[in-house]
Amino acid sequence: MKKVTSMLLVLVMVLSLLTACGEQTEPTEAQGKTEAPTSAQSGETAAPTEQAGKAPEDYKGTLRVWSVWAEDDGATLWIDKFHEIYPNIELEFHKFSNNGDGNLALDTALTAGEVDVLMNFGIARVDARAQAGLLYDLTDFLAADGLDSVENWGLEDNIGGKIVAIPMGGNNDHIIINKDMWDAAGLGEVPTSWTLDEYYEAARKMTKTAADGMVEVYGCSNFHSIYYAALLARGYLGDNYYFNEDGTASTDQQVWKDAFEPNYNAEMVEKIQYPLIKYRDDGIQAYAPFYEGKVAMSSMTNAMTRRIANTDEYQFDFDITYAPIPTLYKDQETNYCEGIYYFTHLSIAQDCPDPELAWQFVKWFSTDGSVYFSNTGHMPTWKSVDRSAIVSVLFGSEEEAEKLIDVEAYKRVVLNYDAPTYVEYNTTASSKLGGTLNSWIMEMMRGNISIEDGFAEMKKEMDQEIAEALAQ
Amino acid sequence: MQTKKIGTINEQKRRDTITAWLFLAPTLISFGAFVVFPVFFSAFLSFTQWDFISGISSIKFVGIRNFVKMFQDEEVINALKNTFIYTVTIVPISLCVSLVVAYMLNDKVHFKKTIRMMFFIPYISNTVALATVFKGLFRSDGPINMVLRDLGVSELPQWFSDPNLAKLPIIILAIWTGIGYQMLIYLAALQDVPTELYEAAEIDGASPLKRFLKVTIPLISPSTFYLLVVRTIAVFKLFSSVKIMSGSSSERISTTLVLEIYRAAFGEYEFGYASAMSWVLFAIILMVTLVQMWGQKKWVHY
Repeated sequence: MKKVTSMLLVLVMVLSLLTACGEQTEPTEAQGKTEAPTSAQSGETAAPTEQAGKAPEDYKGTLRVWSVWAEDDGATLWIDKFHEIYPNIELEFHKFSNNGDGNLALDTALTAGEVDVLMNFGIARVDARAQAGLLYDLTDFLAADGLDSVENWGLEDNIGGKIVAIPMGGNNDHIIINKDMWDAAGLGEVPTSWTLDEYYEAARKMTKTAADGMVEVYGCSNFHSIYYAALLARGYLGDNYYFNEDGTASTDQQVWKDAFEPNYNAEMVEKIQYPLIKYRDDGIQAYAPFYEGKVAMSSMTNAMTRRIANTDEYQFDFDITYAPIPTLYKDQETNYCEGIYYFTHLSIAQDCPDPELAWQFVKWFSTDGSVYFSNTGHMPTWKSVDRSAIVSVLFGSEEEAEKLIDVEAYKRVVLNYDAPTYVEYNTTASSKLGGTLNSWIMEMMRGNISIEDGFAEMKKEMDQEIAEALAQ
Repeated sequence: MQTKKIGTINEQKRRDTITAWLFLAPTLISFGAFVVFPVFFSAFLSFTQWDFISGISSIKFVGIRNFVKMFQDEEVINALKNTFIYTVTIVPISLCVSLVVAYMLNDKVHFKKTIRMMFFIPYISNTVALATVFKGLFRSDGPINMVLRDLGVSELPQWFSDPNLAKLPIIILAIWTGIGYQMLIYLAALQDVPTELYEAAEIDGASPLKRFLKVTIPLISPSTFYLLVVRTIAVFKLFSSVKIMSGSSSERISTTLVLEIYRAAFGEYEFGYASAMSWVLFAIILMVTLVQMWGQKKWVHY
């Protein structure tokens, strides 16, 4: 019996080693591969779309779409509009959260061949999936349909001269303002451009402190996902803001400290900014203190607009207006935070059994149908999108929008398609750099380390992460 | 005639063996697939670099690099330190509290069953739910801080971001949830202590404290040893409560080795590195258990 058990264990071990070390065999049909698909890594070419002689209604089948928005979150509109053109393509939405666990679920489904179309959030995700050969090469589809990626989305390529993901959705960072509080503080006209000093001056005036010293209303808030200190730094640095020209971490540049120190003072010394520690420790969403009237203005992305438009769940009992993210320096010529940066990238899975069918949806949703994507609060990036229709898609009509927000300011600040923005072309260790930035920011905020030493340690750790990523 | 009988017996034995194997097969297959294979595969992976999304062919042999990296990785060293802090605080405190509760409940007390149930409920409750409740209790504007404010504390503690406090809610939760089970084991052990021994000690003039120290403690030492071993292993594997309660601001302060393993594997897709960490954790737990086994000869009375 002992011998049999030992033999079994040895057999399992040997098999596992052999399986792991073995060459990858050619994909079989059972794995969901078709004759035409190509790998973004392999350098093969994709089969062109068979447009000739095929009407939209001739495309038949079901697509499994992995998205953070399902039918209940706005996808019903996309499905209805898509069916007006492609009545015979069924869209089956699978919802995932854009966090570590959600993306793990998506990656597992991708490797198991359970995905046809997917949304990638952030270029780092696109890069990782493309490197792993999980995304279908769209270059030939684009060429066959005469869609120039630069003309349509301002995109040259994703990876190695190929396009495996269309950056069809973007975000805009801005300051959302409680106009009632702004007016009550006698601040006059909301600026169309301003510096950080002017921003904090306004925050100072809007902060309300009770007799016992407790802050009742913070003048401002700057909890912005991982971009707490990065927001102003990237507004100054632009593309690849995490990196110096030599490829090392840019956090040794003075601009990072200049961006962080005012935040620290506003929060820890003056107490005019909603505490970052409170957001993080209590798991408070960025929108919540603004919605609850606990902050007078807050840095925000356009995703907030969906909440404002959702009057069933959220009732903002004050007027809302918008201002751009302030510049860090008075003489700063360009503010890269004003424009719309890529965020949502649409891809076809490499194992999709019918890439041509999937392309019909990807193409539609990245072009004509992209306007409907704005019902999520995110921005379509297609250059030819009907910008005036975005407000109507979100709010029903401009008149309805006027009841909730300052439409003129919204169009000028949030729908600022022509303003400069930044692109993260360099994705080296990108998933780690944000986490490292966050950790050291928190250490400095807690006073566990001086700002000088904190940034020195941050730089050291980031350089190490970059070097490790490059060595792999 | 004799040969025929032996043949029948052998045939019956063979059938019995086949039947036994068939009954065992479902368990053996699942044990092989979900325990044996992952164990050996993770041992193999610990010497490799692999992100699962690139497929099995992307596995790259890297020798002992993952193990070397681990001992240079400040996060892992920090996680290891935290794990030891949790162990040396949670295990003794929870055992002591459980013993006291069990000792009290072993006596004649009102609402014995109700009290026992109240202590046991946290043990059978979902840790995620409990951790969420605790997180709410220790929020910066949560009930605990509100009470402290009413008591006149001006600088309210930041429970999850103050390095001196961040582990405290996790430790309290782990102690609280463990009491129920440990109390039951101790109750059973206490009821097994012969009453004659107490009577004899009383006749000899031993005080209640002396009786507890000289009679009760030695006689329940096998239970204490069992609880010490299982509780130590459990605390070394502390995960869900830390994952829920340590916000992103306190990750570094309260993280554990298991959390780092999870992060490396499912956050960074560094399955080789995560496997190496798992084996180091296994080695540590094994070592600690062996030390406990060796030490028990000196203080456990069977």
